[in-house]
Amino acid sequence: MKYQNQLDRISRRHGLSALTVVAASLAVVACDTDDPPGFLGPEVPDIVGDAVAFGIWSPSGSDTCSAAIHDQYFTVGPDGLRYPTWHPPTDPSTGCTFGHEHGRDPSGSDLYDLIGDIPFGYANQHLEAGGFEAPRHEDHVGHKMEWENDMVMNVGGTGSTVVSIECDVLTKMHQGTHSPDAFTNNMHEVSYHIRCSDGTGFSATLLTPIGTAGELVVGCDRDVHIPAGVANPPISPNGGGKRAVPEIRCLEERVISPADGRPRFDSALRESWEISARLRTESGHTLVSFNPYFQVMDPSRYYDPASPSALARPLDLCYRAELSESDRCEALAGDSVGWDDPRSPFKGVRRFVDVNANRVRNEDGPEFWYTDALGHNGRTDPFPGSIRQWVAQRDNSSLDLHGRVMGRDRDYDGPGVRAPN
Amino acid sequence: MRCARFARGAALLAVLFLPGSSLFAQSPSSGGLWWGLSVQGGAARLTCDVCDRSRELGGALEASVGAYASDQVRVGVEAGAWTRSDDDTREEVYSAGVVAELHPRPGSGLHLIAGVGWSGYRAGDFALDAPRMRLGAGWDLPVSAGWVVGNRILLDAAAFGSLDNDGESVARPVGLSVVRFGLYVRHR
Repeated sequence: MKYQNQLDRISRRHGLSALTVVAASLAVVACDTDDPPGFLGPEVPDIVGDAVAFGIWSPSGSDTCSAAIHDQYFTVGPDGLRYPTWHPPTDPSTGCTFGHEHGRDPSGSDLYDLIGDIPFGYANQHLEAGGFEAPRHEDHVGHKMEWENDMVMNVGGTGSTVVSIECDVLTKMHQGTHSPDAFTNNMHEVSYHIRCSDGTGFSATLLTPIGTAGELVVGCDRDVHIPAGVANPPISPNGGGKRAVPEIRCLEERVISPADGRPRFDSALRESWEISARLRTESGHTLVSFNPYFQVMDPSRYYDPASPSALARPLDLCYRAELSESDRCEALAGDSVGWDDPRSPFKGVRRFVDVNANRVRNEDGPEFWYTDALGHNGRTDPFPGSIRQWVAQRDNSSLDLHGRVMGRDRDYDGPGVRAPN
Repeated sequence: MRCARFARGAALLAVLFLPGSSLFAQSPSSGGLWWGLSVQGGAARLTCDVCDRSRELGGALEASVGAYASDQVRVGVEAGAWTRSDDDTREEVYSAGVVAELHPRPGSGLHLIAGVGWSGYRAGDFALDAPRMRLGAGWDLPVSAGWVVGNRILLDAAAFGSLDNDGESVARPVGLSVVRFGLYVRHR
């Protein structure tokens, strides 16, 4: 049963023949005996039910895939629940389109064999069981993956001139840039995996509060913080980092009335979620800290307090006469389309990640830690609602190990992809 | 004009490549002092588990001073610095130590060089300090009664150091080698 799940996934994702699946079956069984300690651990549990995140997507608009086809892309979490996971924007066996994408296919990552498919919504699922007194669930389309193999790291501010360390990095961030969710809500799921040539490494999955709950930071002027409402959940803790989100004044300055007369949507809309995440023991010791910046150049929304729910669409600016053939609006070629049409140039497909700092202080500790969904209260034994995290036995605090950018030149647009994405 | 420049160049080449004994041959006198300056090109490389092991080219200067222990042996102290810039990072290697130079054949410009001392590597907040050994060879070309020019090739090898970043150890043990080729001028 447990192998069949993996094989179904392999078959579905790659459109393999029955013979190939049989061969893969043998490989899975053969490899199971000395499985490395990844996110899922050595055992793939039997399915005991479905996570809240599973089965929440259904087609709309121009989507041509059914929910049933979509739900064939799942993985089984360490808790035995079915979770949605990465899938291509087009189903390879039917050719239908899902209308959304989840970023870079993780199967190309050098960490994929170790980590496996990442369950979307795993930390959300376990938030309350770990003692947090309110739920926090996120939509399906916002889960975005990015990875890079053999990334040459910057060390100690000297690039790789003195110390040369390469890392494989695999991330999944929930970053919805189509709705008002992130205007107020600062708790978002991140799954972050890194393995480096110097022995630095960790796998962390948590809900990380990004900046202040109920408040956004204006993308084009980081000194301006706007109270945007009550966060969901209202007890969301404040976190480090910030959610820099485009606001109407950014559009006015850089698109509607730019000083040089040249509109620049990318500059006005660039959205940056700068996280400051940690795994901590119950005594407060920080085992791991990392602070990647997740950036989106073409969100389909911006904050405008004059709009309903303060939610405005950059696409609407393309229908102003003076902007209709300018900058990103050129792609429309004069067509009039909705904000959620695949032809819109604003659908959150141009993204990249600044990897930034990766600190590990676990020289004397065990490799497996169990934390709550916020990455706190780390213990060596599991407890209700805990998430198993992996941390290398290493202290790299002297290194100041910084990663570079992942995905700067990538674009995840595909057939049928549209906002909400 | 061009001919004059060519002639000067040819004369300089002749000075550099003729055997030392054929020009101003003079045996060093025991007990006399000497001092020298050297301009070098050098390639340095750090060696450790996490070090960037590419050998990088840079320029170096070195000064030395000492005395003749015998007609064939000079001893002295030397100090120098090597540097290169890579993007925004400047790497520097400082060195200091004692050195001995042996002329195995009296009257020949050929001499062998050996020494021990210290090497210090600096790049941004990174620092390495380690004991160092020097081996090399050179060729003296006397140009007047008191002056010698020449060329030399040197290998500085440091080991057993700790590479620190902002005072905290990043790697240990760490080696540092610098291969140098240089021209020098020495006053007997």
